[in-house]
Amino acid sequence: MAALTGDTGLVTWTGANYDTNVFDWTADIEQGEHDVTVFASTPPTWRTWTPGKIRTFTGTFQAYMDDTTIQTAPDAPETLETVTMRLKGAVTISGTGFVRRLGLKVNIDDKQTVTYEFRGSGTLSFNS
Amino acid sequence: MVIAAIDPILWSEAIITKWDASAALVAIVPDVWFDHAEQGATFPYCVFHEIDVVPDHIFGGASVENVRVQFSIFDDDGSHALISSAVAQLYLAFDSATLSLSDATRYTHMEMQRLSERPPRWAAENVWQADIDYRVRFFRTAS
Repeated sequence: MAALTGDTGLVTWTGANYDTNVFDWTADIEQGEHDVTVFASTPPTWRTWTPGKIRTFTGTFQAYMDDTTIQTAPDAPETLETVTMRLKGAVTISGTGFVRRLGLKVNIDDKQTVTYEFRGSGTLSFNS
Repeated sequence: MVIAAIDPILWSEAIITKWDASAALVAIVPDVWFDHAEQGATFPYCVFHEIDVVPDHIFGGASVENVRVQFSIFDDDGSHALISSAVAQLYLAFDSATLSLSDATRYTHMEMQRLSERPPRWAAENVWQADIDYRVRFFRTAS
């Protein structure tokens, strides 16, 4: 077993969403939590927590703009799409979601980049 | 998978073609060489080198190859007027120039941008020397 590097990563995004020349991605998966602290009879009291029942995920990916394929506005298809984030080979994280933010950066001294932020809806699957 | 950097032959040929296409530049500096000049070269002449190649990798195997190229122009005139004119013509010919590569299936030229200039100076061997650096970017498709 060896540590993974990012050189075989990939993001694919169904529908009309832009996923050309992607060079990085992030995923942020949050688990809800509840504070169940009971005050101790004598201080101090250490907080205690219990896992919540709700999870959510968001993510981003960046790409170099393509000179022929125009970028799409956030959530252009206006439907939930499938986003697949590959770590390596068949090791992927996938779910449905929609793009909620599109950021464009044009710099005279560098490549032009585009950043998409998306929000997941429903289950996020860990595949291997 | 090991992917070699872009072959200098590819872009050096394109640079020489671009050079030869500029009548004003050729009128001052007719001879340009990649890497090293031939012995007994006639002044003024130009030699260009590959300083480095830095790839920006893209998922799936494609990349953007950032090549830093340095042009060095030499002249043995008593004045720096001629070499200064040559530098000015070099800018006209190569600033934001488009290079045509013989391997257009694998590589696409993206941009050519001037990075720095070391103005003409009286260098060793009693000749004028000017050094101009460009960054040339190529998009390489996944193999």
